[in-house]
Amino acid sequence: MAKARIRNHVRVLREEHGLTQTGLAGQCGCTRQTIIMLEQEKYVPSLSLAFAVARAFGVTVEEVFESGEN
Amino acid sequence: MSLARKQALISGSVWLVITVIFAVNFFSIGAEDFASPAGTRARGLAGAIILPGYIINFFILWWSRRGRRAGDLDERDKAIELRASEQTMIVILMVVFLFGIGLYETHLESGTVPVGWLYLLSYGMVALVSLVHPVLSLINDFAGHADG
Repeated sequence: MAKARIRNHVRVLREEHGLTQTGLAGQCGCTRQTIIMLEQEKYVPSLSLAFAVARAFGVTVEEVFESGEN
Repeated sequence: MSLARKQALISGSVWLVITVIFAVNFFSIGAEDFASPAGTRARGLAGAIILPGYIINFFILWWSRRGRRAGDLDERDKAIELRASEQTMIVILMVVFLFGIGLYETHLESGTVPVGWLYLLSYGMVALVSLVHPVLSLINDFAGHADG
């Protein structure tokens, strides 16, 4: 079975909400570096962080993250 | 720059200097003479490098956290630390294995190994572990090789 690649819309949503990377990181309880890696899709967050990101945007987790086959 | 990245840079720099000084000190006198009375000063210097290295490293890391709030190491930082620890263990195991096999092959005919090599192995691994771990942390950090 091919490994699922997790894609996200963090950057788009962040810009839509007028948030900085630092501001989003503060709301989610993580570092700015983690937000950067998230936006570059180089980091797959834990469930708790994924929910925190979705909560920061006021959307569901599925609207922020999506799974795609490699 | 994140706190984790800063601390890895600090630790890596401190232990790179210590490791180089330790290696130069050891190889300047050689393994054969290191354990002899002629190597007393070198042994003293080697011991004088490692312990202050830990103290200096601890102080610099403590100083770098001034004004920082708790929780500056997030889940990604912890995942990187865990991954770096696993990789460090593998690297050190390989180094110890190769070092041991190298000593065995080199001294097989003589049947004896200068005890100075054992000193290098023990204290050298202390310095190497402290150097390799922050380097691997930085590699994993920049490459994005850690998932939550």
